[in-house]
Amino acid sequence: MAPTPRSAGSIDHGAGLAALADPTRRHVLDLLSELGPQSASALADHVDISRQGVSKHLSSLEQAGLITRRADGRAVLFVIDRDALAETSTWLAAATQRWNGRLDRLEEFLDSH
Amino acid sequence: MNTPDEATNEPPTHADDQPASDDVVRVEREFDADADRLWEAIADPDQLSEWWGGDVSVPIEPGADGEASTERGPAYIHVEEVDPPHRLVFRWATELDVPTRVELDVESTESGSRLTVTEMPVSPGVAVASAHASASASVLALASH
Repeated sequence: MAPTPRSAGSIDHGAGLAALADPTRRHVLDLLSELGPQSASALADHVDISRQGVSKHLSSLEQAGLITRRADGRAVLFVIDRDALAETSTWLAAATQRWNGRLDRLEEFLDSH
Repeated sequence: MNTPDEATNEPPTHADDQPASDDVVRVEREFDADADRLWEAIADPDQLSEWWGGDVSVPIEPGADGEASTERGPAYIHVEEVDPPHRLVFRWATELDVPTRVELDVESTESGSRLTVTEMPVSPGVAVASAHASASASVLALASH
């Protein structure tokens, strides 16, 4: 299952995982991971959609707690929250492992019946 | 002899140097059994009980509600789609975790069949079950979207 919701004021992990399901958002996260903090305009230059489209994705990612924003003079930069991402990765790995276990048992069942 | 496992989602080993583009949960497995046989093992309650790994009690019918035990505790389940022998979709939640949707897709292959399992969170705000609900439809708080 998706990770435990943390205490009040923190991240909605269901939203975090749902946010990762979109390829453009994953691309944005990759870019932030590789390049460090970026403005929305800089990110729009790298992805094949409008600045407005990028802003919508950034908003989803921010709501999901996967990125945060910080001021850089008058500019706004977006930064990856590595703890949030790590926790999401952990859930994905654990859920994958659970399914692999179930499918192992299904395989054994089919082999013996 | 069964073909090797084909889990397509490798667990990351180092979260810090992991690329940010983790996929949702997606696991594929091929079986020697044909698609009909594979479907039956999933959709027939007696057979499902034999391999699930814990108690499971849910009719495999659209709109049905039930429960299954999981490593994360008891899960309350709502079945969304049943399209024999191809596709089964349900959503579920435990007390520990937010609700997710699971899609099981069965395909025929040259050597038998393939099952693809995809799991991802349902949209925020969609409830699956209250924490202490019994498995009766009237008690489960279900929202469609």
